[in-house]
Amino acid sequence: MTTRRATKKPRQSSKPAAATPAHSPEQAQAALAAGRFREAIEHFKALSRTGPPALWQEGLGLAYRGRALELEAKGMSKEALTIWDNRQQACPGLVPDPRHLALLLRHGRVAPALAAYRHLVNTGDAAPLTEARARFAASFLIDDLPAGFSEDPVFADDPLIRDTPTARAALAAYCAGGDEEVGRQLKAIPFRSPYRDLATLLKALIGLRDDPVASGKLVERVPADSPFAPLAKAIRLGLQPDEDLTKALGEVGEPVRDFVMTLRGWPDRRRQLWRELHRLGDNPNSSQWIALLRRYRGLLGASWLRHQVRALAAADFPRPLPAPLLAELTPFDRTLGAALIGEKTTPPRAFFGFWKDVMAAIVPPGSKPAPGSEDALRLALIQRRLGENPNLLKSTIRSWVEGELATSLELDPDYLPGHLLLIGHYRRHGRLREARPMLERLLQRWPEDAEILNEALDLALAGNAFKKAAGLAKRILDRDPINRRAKQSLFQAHLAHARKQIAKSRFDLARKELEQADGWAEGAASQARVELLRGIIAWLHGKHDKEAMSQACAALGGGITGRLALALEAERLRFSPQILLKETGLLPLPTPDREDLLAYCRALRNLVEEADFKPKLIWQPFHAPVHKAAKLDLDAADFETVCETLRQIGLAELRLEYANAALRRWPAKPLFVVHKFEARAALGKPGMDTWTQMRHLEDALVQARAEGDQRTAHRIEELLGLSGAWDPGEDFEDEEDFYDEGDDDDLPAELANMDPAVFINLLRNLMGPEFKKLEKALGGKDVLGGLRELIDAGDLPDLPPDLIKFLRQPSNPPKPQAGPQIKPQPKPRREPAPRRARQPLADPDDETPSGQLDLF
Amino acid sequence: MRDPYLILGVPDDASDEAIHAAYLAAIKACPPDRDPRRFDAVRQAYVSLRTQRDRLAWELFDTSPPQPQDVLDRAAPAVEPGRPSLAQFHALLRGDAG
Repeated sequence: MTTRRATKKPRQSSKPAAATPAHSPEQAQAALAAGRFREAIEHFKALSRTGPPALWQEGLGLAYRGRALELEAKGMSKEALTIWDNRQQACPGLVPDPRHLALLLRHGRVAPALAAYRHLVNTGDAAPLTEARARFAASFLIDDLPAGFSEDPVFADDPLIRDTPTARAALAAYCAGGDEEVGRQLKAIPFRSPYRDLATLLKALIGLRDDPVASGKLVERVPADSPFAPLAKAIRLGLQPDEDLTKALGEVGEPVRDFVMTLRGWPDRRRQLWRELHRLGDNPNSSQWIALLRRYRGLLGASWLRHQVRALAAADFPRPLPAPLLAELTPFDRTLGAALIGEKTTPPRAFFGFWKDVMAAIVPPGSKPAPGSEDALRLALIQRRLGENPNLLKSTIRSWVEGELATSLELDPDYLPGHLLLIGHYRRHGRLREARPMLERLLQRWPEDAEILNEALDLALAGNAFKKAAGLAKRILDRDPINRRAKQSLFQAHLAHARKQIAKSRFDLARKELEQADGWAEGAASQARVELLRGIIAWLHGKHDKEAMSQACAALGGGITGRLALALEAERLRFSPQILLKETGLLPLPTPDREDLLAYCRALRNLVEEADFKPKLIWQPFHAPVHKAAKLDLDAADFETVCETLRQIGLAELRLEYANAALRRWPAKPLFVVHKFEARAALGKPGMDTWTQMRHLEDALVQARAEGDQRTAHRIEELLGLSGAWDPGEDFEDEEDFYDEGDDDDLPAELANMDPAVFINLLRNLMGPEFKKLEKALGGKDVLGGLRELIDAGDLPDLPPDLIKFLRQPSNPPKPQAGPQIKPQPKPRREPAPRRARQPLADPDDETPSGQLDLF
Repeated sequence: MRDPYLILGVPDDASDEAIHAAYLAAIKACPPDRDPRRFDAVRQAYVSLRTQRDRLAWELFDTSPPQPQDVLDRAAPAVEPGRPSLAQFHALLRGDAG
């Protein structure tokens, strides 16, 4: 390994080398212009030995000035003063620089400062004199007026001497809270006074509380190079909103921080707490948070603390909370926390059970809270949350969720969105008979409610009651002329009615409906949908306007996406999509490019939401082009999209093809392993009859867990028939376990059994380009050995701690095993601890599930 | 998301009316044209607390990790704005402002 020390280059001097030819004015000016002040000083000094002052004096002065300012900016004021002194000595003809004067005073060298100031007064050069006065003003405000200044009759009428007592009195009055006195003193300070910036800032401070905007504007008047700029900066910071201020305070020095905290009324306790928070850094881990929150438990309040602990538990999962912190939580908090975590990490059945546990903790089973009571509202909120979860509504326990939604209406009968949620659910699943009476009741209670009217419109459309839908849409638009949803629904209603008329061969009526739809169409895609139906009517009359159909398909996405729209229309009208596509000249279908393929998947997923849509009916013409597109150069997210779409539609063969194509590029990537095996299972060839294939899945499970992909891990567990047998928190019994990595042997144990090739692939996926570099550097030989050497040398790769710990052990990583291991049964897995084991949920018809898993 | 109670400056048991009043006062202090970020935060906080249902939902479902500003405001709220002392002015102007 190379070390930084070894690679550090010796510092290069900016002095010109001895062999440099004679110094030229051009060289000197170039160095000055480039900001290489030390080099410029050397050049100009060399020129001063031979040339006239006109050639070098001004340049040398500027070079010295640049260097002095550089040092001052680094806080090296002593060194900067030496450079200023050198400047004055080497260039006696130059006017003293005001910054030099300020530094002289600051370092207590009053006599030379006085002399230089007198020189400025005598020369009468206005600009440097004004700046010098301002710089002196900031010094005189702090310290006593030096004797030389106050006694010298030359300065009797100097504004600096004249205004200093007034400025000091104004500042003292402000600090003492005497705003009127401040006002009086500020009136005595003239506009051209060196204390002008101070006067502006004192005005800003006085108005800070009542008119912060005006104060902010006053502060902006003070230039950045003003000697009072530090005060302006502090006030500007004090004007920041709370959250910005809390962050910005960490970036300023103690005097500014102290000043601003006082200005904002921060008591000592808040200052102390800010320091503790600041020490935690930008991204404190949970244990740091917890330690701090517990120290301030009394001030934060028990209930608030519990709320935060729940949030930390959710954020930190699957790492369990330390045992002492668990003591902060009530049994209800734990149950609620488990539900919140389970919702993100467990299959629908499991987290439904967790939420049922929460509901049982709010109101014991069997008892019923009074409708509208606080407990009733809590239960109804949870029930609606379940009802809004798309995964639950697509699962086999949908009927349970519907039952919960129905109960929520009894518990919270006045909450309209709850009613609409259930009606919408019934509508989407074609259960219009259940939805209609509910909607009628709502319309009786809230006859003018726009949301109910919108739902009534959707319901009418879902029931093919197009005339009723058009009437409802007009009723909505009478109340709300810009209601876009109603316009779209009206468009859909006319379009659907036109289809109905086409199906009955009433083409004139269909054309009229299409004209109506045209009037409500918004955008090119909507227009194109109308054109498709017009084209179909023409086709039915034997007129094949291929050009018009082709244009409409192009407007609907082109490629196979546009053709899907036409195939859909054919299917809705009970025509053969294949024949329609052929006779309108849109066959053969093109092989889609990436964008077309993804747009096609998007369109299909939207269709899946429709209750009566059967995508398999229109699938035939699209099989070949989608099959060919598996060879496209897609990224992993694209493959994931396609596989997921094919899963939703139920096209297992193509899904298997895409999963295999993805696995060829990303071998053993857990998600694609899942797709592959799920697709095989759907095709009736699960492929888990050999030990090798079983290990393939188990390795993917380990990898998914190592990558923190809990959802994929659960899917693999389901494939392995292990659902519920794995407890993510079983190794952490208490706080000691939580912090002591040595006790966590679960993952390394599984890694030890992993196929070496899969293990290397896991590292490749986790480390990305870093792993490739390592492979290249080692010439592809013993990459794992090289990686362990790196770890031993303290150069830790970006890998989970468990993996690093695993790699540190001499017996790891796994060694290739001798010959294939064919076993009839999967390897035995460690049994979960009985108290944590989650019982598989019963069949929906049996009973309501209940979750008992303690996720902490 | 920050604690909506702290953003609106209302106690945990505030009524609908108290929350509405605090919301109106807060948006008056930070109209959207002057401080859009603060306005959005106030608006979001109000939406989280508007009704009893909203408050119960926040209590049950919120999983936002702790925010330093919330901890500060909850454990040690700022008091009335103060006035720095002469010594603090001097320290600032001496040039060691950081």
